[in-house]
Parts: sequence; C-alpha cells; structure tokens
Amino acid sequence: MNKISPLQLGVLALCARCFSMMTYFPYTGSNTLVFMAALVISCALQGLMLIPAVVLCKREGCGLCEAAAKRSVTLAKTAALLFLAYFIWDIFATVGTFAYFTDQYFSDQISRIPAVICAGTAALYLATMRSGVLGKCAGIVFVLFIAFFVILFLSAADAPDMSNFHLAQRDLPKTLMNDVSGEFVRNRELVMLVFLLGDVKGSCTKAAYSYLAMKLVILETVMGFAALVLGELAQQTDMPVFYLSCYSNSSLIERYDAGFMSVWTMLAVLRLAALVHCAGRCVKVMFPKLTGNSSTIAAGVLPAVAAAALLLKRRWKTVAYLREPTVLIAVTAAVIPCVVYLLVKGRKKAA
Amino acid sequence: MNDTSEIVMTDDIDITLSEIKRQCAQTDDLNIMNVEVCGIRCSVLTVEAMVSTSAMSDLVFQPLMSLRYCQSGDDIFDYLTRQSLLSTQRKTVSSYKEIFTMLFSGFCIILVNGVSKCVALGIQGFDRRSVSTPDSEQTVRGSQDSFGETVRTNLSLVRRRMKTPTLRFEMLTCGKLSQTDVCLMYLADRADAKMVETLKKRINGIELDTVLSSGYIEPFVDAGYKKSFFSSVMTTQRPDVACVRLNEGRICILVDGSPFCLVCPSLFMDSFQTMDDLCTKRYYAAFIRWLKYFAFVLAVVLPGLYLALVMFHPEAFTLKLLLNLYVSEEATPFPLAVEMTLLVVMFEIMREAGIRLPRSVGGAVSIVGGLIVGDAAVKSGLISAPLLIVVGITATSAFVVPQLEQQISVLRLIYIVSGSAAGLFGLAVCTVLFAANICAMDELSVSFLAPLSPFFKDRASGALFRQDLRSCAKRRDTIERYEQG
Repeated sequence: MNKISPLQLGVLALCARCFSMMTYFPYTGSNTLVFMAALVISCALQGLMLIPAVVLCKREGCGLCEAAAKRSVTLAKTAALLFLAYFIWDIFATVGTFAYFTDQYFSDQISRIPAVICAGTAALYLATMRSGVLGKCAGIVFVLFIAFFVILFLSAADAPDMSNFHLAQRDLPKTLMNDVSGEFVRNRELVMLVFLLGDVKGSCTKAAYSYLAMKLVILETVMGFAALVLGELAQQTDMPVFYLSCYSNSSLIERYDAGFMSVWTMLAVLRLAALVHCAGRCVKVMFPKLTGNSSTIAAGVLPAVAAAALLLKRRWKTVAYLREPTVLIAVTAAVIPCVVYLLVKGRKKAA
Repeated sequence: MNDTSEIVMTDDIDITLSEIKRQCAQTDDLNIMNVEVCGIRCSVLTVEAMVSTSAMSDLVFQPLMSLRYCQSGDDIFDYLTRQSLLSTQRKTVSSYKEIFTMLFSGFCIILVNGVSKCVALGIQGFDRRSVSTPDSEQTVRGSQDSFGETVRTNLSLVRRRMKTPTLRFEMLTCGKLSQTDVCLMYLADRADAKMVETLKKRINGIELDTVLSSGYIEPFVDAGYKKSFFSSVMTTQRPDVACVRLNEGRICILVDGSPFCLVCPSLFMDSFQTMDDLCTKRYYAAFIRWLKYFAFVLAVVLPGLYLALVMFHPEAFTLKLLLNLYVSEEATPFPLAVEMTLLVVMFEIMREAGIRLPRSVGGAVSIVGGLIVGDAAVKSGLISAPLLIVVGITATSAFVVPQLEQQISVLRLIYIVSGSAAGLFGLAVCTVLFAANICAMDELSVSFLAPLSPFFKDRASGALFRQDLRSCAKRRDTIERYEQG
C-alpha cells in the first residue's frame, strides 16, 4: 500500500526542489534582497495554487486520479494522461539538466553518458518502490544535504559582504515580478506533490504547507548566505551554490565541490525516482492490466530513450536553460485538481 | 523412516515391537528391554545415550519391579499413568509416529501387553553443554551467561528473569526428518497478537527436511530476506537481551540445537545497543552509541572514500596532506584501487581464518597477518603506509558493531569498487541505493529505521541516546507503536 507521512512527502518534494536550487538560480539581474522578497511572494502564490488539490484530497480522502475515477473512468484516464505528459517532460528535462551540469561542473571526473546511465538505473530501482519508501529515503538524503550545508556554511563564514542586501533597484515592481516568475517556474515538483497528496497518511494540508515553509527557509538561507559569502559574484552567476562550495575551505578540506557533487547526485537520483514513480502510476491508471513494475519501467524508459538522442548531440543547454511557461505548472498543479473537484462534487450533488 | 502415521497400534506387544523394529530397521542405538511384571509382559524402549541410566533405574525399573497386585495390563498401565508420579514429563502415546518422536527426544517408552497405548516418561540424560559465557556479545557489567544448544535449558534462562504468567512459550516442530523443537516466546500482554499469528504461520509453513540451527528458519521468518541487504531478524546469544526485547513486545524464537535466539522484528538501531548501555551513566552510554554509529560509517565508507578522493578529487585535500599522500603512493607498484582491494580481501581472509581456527591459533594468525605481513608489505614498498592505516582503522571500526559484520564486509567492497570507478559520484549513487533498500524494509509492518524514519518525536531520542530508566518505568512503549497501517 502506498502511504507516506505528511512530513515525508514535504521532504521528498523539498529534495526535488533542492536539486534545482543546487543546479542553478536563474539570473534575473536583481539584487539579493529583491530576489529573497520574490521568493516569499512566489511561495505565497504556490500556497494559493495548492488549495484545490488539498481540498480535493481532504474531501475525497484519496488521490487525484482515484477521485476522478469516482466520476468516470474516462476522467481518471484523461487526468492521468495529462499528468503523465507533464512527468515525462519533467523526467526528460531533469535528465537533461543533470547531464548538462555534470558536464559543466565535473567533466574531468565523470563523463555525462555513464553518469546518466548510472543515475537513471538507480532511479528506476527506487521508482519501483512505494511512495513511503521514497519519502523515508528522502529523509536520509535531506539529513545529508543539511549536514553538508552546515559544514559548508561553517567553512565559508569568513568576512561577510553585506553590499547586496538592499532594495535599491531600478524598476522594482517589474524586477520583482520577473523574479517571482523566474522562481515560480523552477518549482516543477509542485505537480509531483499534488499527484502524491492522495498517498498521505494524515493531513494533506500539513504535507503541502510544510513543504512550502521548509522550502522558503532553505532557499532564503542558502541564497542569503551565498550572497554574504560571494558578494557581487552571487548576483552575477547562475550557480551561486556551486561557487560557494568551491570557495569554502577549512584546515581539513581545501574545497567542497566534490561534496557538492555527491549531494547533488543523490538529490538528482531521488528527484528522478519520484518522477518515474509518479509517471509509472499514471501509466497504471491508463492501463490497469499492466502488472508488477512494468508500468514504472515503461514510464522511465520512454523519456530516457528520448534523452539518449539528445545526449549524443550535446544540445542539452537548450533544455537545461529552458524557461518553460508558468502556465504549464499552474494548469497541471491547480487547474486540473480544480476541474476534477468540481466535476466530482457536481456528480455527488446530482446523486 | 517410513510414514508411520497411518498404522494403528494394537494391544499385542509382539506386533507393536515387530512394527517398531521394522520401522527402525537395524539401528543399533535402540534398546528394548523385555520384562514380566506380575506375569504380564512389558517392554521398555530407550535410545542409547539419550536417557539417564540412574533416573531410569530409580524412576522406571524399581517402581515396576515393586508392583505386586496387578491382574491385567490395564492395571499396570493405570498405575503408570494415574497412580504414580514417576517423572515430570509423562504422556500417553497411541501412535507409532508419536512413539518415535518421543523415543528420539530422550523419552523412555513403556509398552504393556494387552494395552493398545503406551506410556512415555521423560528421563532424558543426553550430554549437553553447560551454560557458558557469550562469545559474540561480550559485556562488562551485564550477565555472563548465554543460551546453549538445549532449547529447554534456554527457556529456563528466560523464565528465571521474567517471572510473569504473561510470558508464553509455544513449542512448534520444524523439519520433516529432524523434528526440531522451535519455541516461540512472547509476552502475551505486550506482543501484537497478529504478529504472533503471522510468525506461527510462517514457522508452520517451513517444509525443510532438517532444521539444525536458527539460520535455517531465518529466511522463512523474515519475509523480505531475499530483497533486503540487512536482516530484519536479529540474533542474540544473551538471555538478558532476549528479555529486554520481549519487554518491548517483540517475539523471540529459540531453535533446539542452536545457541542463538532470533528476535522479530528488529530495528537498525538495535545493532548499536548493548546491555552495558543500561549499566553506565546516560552521557557515557550516549557517547558510546554515537561512537558506534561513527565506527559503522567509517567501516563501510572510509576505504571507498579514500579511493574516491585520491583518484578523482585530490583538490579536496590540503596541500600538505596531498603531498604526503603523493609521496607515499608514488613509490608503490600497483594502482591504488588494486592495492586497496587486495589489502581488504587479505584482511577478510585473515579474519575468516581467525574465526574458524582454535582461539589459541587464531591469535597467532592476527599477529602474523597484521603485524608481520603488514609491516613487511609497507617496508618492501608493495603498499603505501596511508593505505594500511585506512584499512587498519576500517577493520578496527568493523569490530565495534559485530551484529552488522556481514553487511559491513560486503558494503565496504561495493563502496571500494564504486569509489574507484566513479569517485564521489559512485559513492553517492551507492548511498542512495542502500538507503532505499533499508527504507523498504518493514518486516511485520514495522519500519527497520524506526523511530527515526518514520519519525516518532517522543522515541527518536532513544536511537541516539539511552532512554532514561525512570521515564521507561512510567511509560510502556512497545514495538507495536512503530507499526505502519
């Protein structure tokens, strides 16, 4: 049985978000404090966006597809198809981002094709497990992530540079909106969170909002610290966390980029696993006759095959830096649950 | 032995004896003593060296010979079963199958002509090892007795410590040929009845011919045995540890012939706890527990991490350390990964030799392997000194957590291979895989990582610090709390 605690689901989604955070921050040209304010607004918007999914989950006591199935099988299959399409795109983009940044960061240590094959295989193994197992595993990886960042911060805390902490910004509202939008599209894991809400054993509200709260704290802390340590560089680069790990040193360790790679890889595997797991379940809703792990394997292999073609042609930069439309996340994470909820409610009233 | 369950016993002693002889063929350890009591033919059956001769003389022969006023076989049978107390274990047996089970368990069987049943008296007297100190779980201040091979002696070791009527012993039989006694122990008011039933079903479903140690039944008791790298069934040689676990609502299984008790379900943190924790101050117990967790990580990861850093990420080292390592490694002829693998495999060989050899010789193996070979290898330039230090630290750390030695040995090799093949990337992938494998363990619906994952706020500290005994007295927590719905 797929059951996950609210906190575990929150941490699982957070791990997926931390992967994006460690990979790169989209550079918008604003200063740090403006970006930090944008994070708060973006989180508030995401909170609003999660309301339909949380209400649906609470009222129906099950996941989105199961709730849709109460209305009709066709509705359930349509919802599953839309989510599957999104998950396949997300898997594809995650694989691409992972491959591209492996090349960017660590090309001298490991080449991208073996790296993607290893991480993909590991993710496929994880994806065949229950969502509760993924949640527990996320807990372990999250502890390692926190431990790494504490060590990183302790090693980097040298002479803080406060020059970026101000709100003096040309055309502040426009920049702020730009930052909000830029941050918002980095939250693709919201769709995964919405999809897995039905598995929560306990309060769905707690799962959704604990994720948002933890994410806000972590992103603000990391961004703030990176700006304090790196100063102007944090504002100019897309990869402040990576630079932070290269900059930090102690009497024992000269630089932490190798540690960065370990934690980043673990987060990537976990994110991929969660996405393949969700995609596999969508396939299962669409083709209930599939048994065992065949649906998960099918869901994982499809985008992997598509990724292989691009892997060989080095076109990943396009995918990695692609800024997908905000509306895509909003439709999948908010509009679909809203529609399903209204349809199910309508049927109940009619009955 | 042929199937004897279908054949019915008759009241003719000759037919019964011939059937027994036919079933046992020409086995030389079966003793049949024929005697006439008040003119009625009786036979006493025993198995060589399984019964106590003095007890047999006092409890069987003397009372039988002193009988004077019996008119029929029924009178003798009545005397043996109702009018006398010859042994603490007495059973009326009416089938050949039971006769053989009792006979080969050390009972004495008395057949009386004219009666279609017989009497089995427990006068076992086979040689058994006395209660000795535990070899695998030494403690400083804990008790110094351990389980032995005889299941009934083991039961007494537990009963002596738990004088409560809620302690239940349920005897089951396993093994078509060995007919081994397997005892399920639990506290009726603490153990989950569903868990007990599930385990009983699993044990009764064992279809092995022989069950000669607890290891035989472990795969049947642990549902995730094939899939999991770690075991969710813990073993202990100590009766006091078994009592602690029983008190937590767990179920213990004793197998006749094995000095190890199985505890189901077990948790990851159990491997880091000892009885000494309860005999020391809390701060020291916590320190030792943290030390054990650290030793476990060192034992598993250190060689792989060393290889990954030296081969793939030398920039992580400070300059002085890097130069030292460079100078040491430069002089050795083998690639670093080969050097490390060889050294770790050599260590495993010596450890295995030390375990299997007699203790006196085992010590010599350690001296020869550790000191002489190690020193000579470094001096001759075959291996580098830092590598030997790493393997030495790793080996010593592994001894701190003996419960997990199998897992540590294999995990270490896997980490060495992945560290040398892909650096920290390989280690990271391995770590996620093993984390997932451990997280997937939920034997009898209890998560192996409880109470840390899933997180139980009020119990999580117990994984990192020793519980306060005063608070334990106030609150009665059992393993049932960790059950996932």
